[in-house]
Amino acid sequence: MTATIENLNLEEGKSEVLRAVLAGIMESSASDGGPRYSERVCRALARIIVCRSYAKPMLELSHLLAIASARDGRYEEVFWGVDRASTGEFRRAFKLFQGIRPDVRVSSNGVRRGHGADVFEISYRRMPLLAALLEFMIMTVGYPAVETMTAGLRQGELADENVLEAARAMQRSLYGYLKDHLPPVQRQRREHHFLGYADAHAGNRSGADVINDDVVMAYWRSYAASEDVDAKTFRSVYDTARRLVVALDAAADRFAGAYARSIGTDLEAGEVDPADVDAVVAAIDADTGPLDQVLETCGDTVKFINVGEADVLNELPLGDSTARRLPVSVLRNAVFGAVQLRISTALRRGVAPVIEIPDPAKGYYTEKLTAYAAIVAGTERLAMAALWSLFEAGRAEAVDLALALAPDLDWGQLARSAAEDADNVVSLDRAGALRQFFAVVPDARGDELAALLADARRTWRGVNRAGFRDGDGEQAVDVIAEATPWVLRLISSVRRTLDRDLGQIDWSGHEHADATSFAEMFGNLYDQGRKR
Amino acid sequence: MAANDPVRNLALAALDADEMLRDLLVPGADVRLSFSELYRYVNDPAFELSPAAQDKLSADPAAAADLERLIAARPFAYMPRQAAASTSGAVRREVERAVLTLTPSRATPAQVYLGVEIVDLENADVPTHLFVRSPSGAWLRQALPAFSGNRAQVLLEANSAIANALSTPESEVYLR
Amino acid sequence: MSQVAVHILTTEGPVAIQRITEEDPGVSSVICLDGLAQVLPASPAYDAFVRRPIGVIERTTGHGAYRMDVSARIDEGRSWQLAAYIAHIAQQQETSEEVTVFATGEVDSELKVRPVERVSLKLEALARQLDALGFNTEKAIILVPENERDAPSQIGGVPVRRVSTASEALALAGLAAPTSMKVPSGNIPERESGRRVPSWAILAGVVLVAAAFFWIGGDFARWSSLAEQGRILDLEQDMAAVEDTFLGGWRAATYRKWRNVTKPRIGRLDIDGSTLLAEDAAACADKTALEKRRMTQVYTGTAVVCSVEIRAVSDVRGRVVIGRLAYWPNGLGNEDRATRVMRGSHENSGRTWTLEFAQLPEAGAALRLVIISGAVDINGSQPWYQDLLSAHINSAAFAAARDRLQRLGFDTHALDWRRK
Repeated sequence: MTATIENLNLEEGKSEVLRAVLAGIMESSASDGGPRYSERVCRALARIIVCRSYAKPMLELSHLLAIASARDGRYEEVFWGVDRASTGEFRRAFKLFQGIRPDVRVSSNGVRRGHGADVFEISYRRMPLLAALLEFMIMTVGYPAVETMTAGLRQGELADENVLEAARAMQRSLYGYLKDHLPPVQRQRREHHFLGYADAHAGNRSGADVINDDVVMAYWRSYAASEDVDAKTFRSVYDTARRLVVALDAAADRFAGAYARSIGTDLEAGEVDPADVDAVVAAIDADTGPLDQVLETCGDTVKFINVGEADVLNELPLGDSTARRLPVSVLRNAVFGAVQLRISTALRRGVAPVIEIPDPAKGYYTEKLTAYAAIVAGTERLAMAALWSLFEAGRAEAVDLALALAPDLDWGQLARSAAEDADNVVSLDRAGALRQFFAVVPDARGDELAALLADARRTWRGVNRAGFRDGDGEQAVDVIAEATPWVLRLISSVRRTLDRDLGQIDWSGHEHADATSFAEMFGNLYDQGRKR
Repeated sequence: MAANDPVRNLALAALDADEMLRDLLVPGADVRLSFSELYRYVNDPAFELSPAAQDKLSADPAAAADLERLIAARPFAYMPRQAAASTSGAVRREVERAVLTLTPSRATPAQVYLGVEIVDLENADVPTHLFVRSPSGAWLRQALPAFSGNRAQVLLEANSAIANALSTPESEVYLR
Repeated sequence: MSQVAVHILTTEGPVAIQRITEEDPGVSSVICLDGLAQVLPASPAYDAFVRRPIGVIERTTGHGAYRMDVSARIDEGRSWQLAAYIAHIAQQQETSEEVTVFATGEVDSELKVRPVERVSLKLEALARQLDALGFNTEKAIILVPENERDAPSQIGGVPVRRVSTASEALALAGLAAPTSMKVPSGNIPERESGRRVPSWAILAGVVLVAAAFFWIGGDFARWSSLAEQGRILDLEQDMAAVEDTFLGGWRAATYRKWRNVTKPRIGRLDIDGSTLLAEDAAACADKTALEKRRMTQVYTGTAVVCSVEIRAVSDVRGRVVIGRLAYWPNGLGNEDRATRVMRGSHENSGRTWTLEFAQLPEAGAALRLVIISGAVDINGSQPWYQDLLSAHINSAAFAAARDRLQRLGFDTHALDWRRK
């Protein structure tokens, strides 16, 4: 299945039914009133639909339906028996499937179906999306039709052919639906225009290398006042550049890697493979970084990051190559993008704007870097507090967190025996190691591990945030356990961005030059506006 | 970078798709009733469809078909339409696994007892609620209290919608 | 018409019994709130309190279904029973004198008043609200169970009396004890939905049972004694011995029907089983590390099954749960006898069978649990287990053994488990 990018006519109104279905899925709620599917899952679902990259997910769904039907054929009780379609809830749901049938295996990472070498595994992390896909199928082609297509999956142990057949039937069905309801994509003028400009100034550079800080600034200066393209704000140009950088890097990565491509894709003729498009769109999707994962996992239960901190950290492009390719633009956006936003907000409200150019003498870029560092230091402190919470609750995740917080510690026998075997079945050695770990008495003057735990306890006592208070309950501990890997990833991601990408630049030179440039541009853009 | 550079083409195609994706995720005027809500309505006695959701359901034949399939799929017992109404005022529907009775209260004639007796108590999950499809096709739901022995009983207002529907021979009953 | 106003004492204050009305015998008795179609959670307990064979009200009034309206919510305990009993009796009697009764206490099947909790709190609540109730304190009485020795002698001028039996309570309330216990209405099954028993049938039943008492005579007493002692095989053989004599068959049949009428309500039997699993046989030794999984009919997993634990609990007071758990390593009934037969441990409301396998179950190994329930534990030899523990559930041998117990007043349930 291929599509040419020349075929980009929008059929107005065709997508309204599709939009209504996606809205229904986004608005479906868990029993506590929160969303049943996270925003990230909804976006991933929409990506599959728009890119028509549903072949692999449909096969995964078919296997998962076969597994979920293994108990009594009632797969619905698994998919909708979970209140919130989350990794943790699916992990809990499939615990009941342990040993239910020889061809179904349950591990700590996911579920497997099949025998010997012919094993298909689906991770718990993938299940929320597959549940949303099933819901989408039911809401579009209908529950009776899905029941019919998947009837063969509810008949005990299955041959792979049964699973493939169900997957193919669902693919055909979805293909037919989308043929009627999904209009061709519309060509986006903004990105095409910017890339054309960048190409013209690229010299002998290619790929994402054509976009750098100078090009971003030059494009904004050239087109901010233009009526032809929407480039008035530096932030909009930065966002466009960022999206292009990410897309070009991801696209180059797809072609560099050995990804299976649909047979018959004619790259020379401008055709693109749906799976490639899906992968690049996923990379563009700004909300898949560690910060969003932390916020999504924690909700209001555990405040590893509060709203104000999240706003500040959001200025940093984490999890993609933007900070490496456009380091100055990142801080220009953070500082002057915010100044321009205040100006346009004031104008929208009919208030005379005050152009507040920050003082270079105060080192406004370095001040920003200090602010990011302070937040991540606070998050590290909370991770230390989380260690105490997990340790006190006897959660195995405490070991992983302790290893991350104190990698230099001599873990000795404890660390060696904590390794899991291939099936992720807790071995007796691991059980023994866990027992040893949880038998350690926190002692600030004790050996390393005892001291680490004492430090964690002291930190816990000094924190007063949701999820980190005595009496916050088991749910908070569950959330901490689930969020901790993302918190660690967020910390390392911010640290890496600050140290590697933004820390190598002489900011004082930029601070003086940018104060002048932006003052001049803002003056041109807004003083003239006021004079008119 | 050439205009037909595959990397460039892929990146731009992805950006176009991303824009469409964002556009699709902005809800329009219409929001379909999700299957999750229908499933909860059928399986969670504590969950009620909001009036807005009920309106959507009545205006959405596809969602109504999904609901019907959900209710009809693997019920504890199904009681089909009856040939004729009872002449005594009492209602009795009997199938292999369950007996449903509607008995007027002697104490308060404006009220009726809905009784559900089940057999095969040890080999199945006991039903938690019943669904009635009235001749008009509308669905009504009644939560059942915990079974005492093999019997559950609910006291209903005789003129309530559910009592009326249960009294109508043309209605169908599903115990779930 | 009775002029007795009865209030249930609760910790929130007295709750008036507003009215008691006969309902169709096909429905369960209910307690409703203030005339509304709002059934209170205590209703199933009230139904049991009313209906034969456990319930005391039907025994007294001959009717098995009532609606009792109360002025406020009452909790799910049983302390409302004494007041409900008094109200039921009062309704049956014509009294001219206005009397107000406040009562708390549980009434057992022998009409003894049993202790209840938080009586002092209930009396305190009554004291606080007494003035607002507006009744003649000189014609009122407060009734509490006999064990409440610390109860005050009066509250607001209303005497507090401790009672040990329902008849004492009735007397203090100015009511006559019911003249005689109403005879159970024949051999009607426990409840037949929606079917009303015609009065002529009740009358015929009364005559029949009266005649049965006359004719059975000594046999009845002897068989009852054997049954009470749990000597069920002796009972069966004794009845068999007279069955061939003149009218003996009829007498035995009548006695069997009587036993079926008086046996505890079947109620609900909750059976919950678990298998305890380990990765290998050696790991079975570490009981703390075993994985507990709910038992299903067939175990298809790969783990080692170290032991099983099954619990059967009855929700009917007075129903005795007994039985045997048999282990067949080579499949049900494939050997002369089961390798192990477990009696299970007795609990107040049921029984638990635990089996730690010495010979671990391999593919095809089977367990058969037979649960027998009735009014008494069974003593002495029980030959029926031989078929119950080895024959297929749908076989004639199993059915014959089950019917044999059924005739003696016991219900039989069987569950099979096997390893695939």
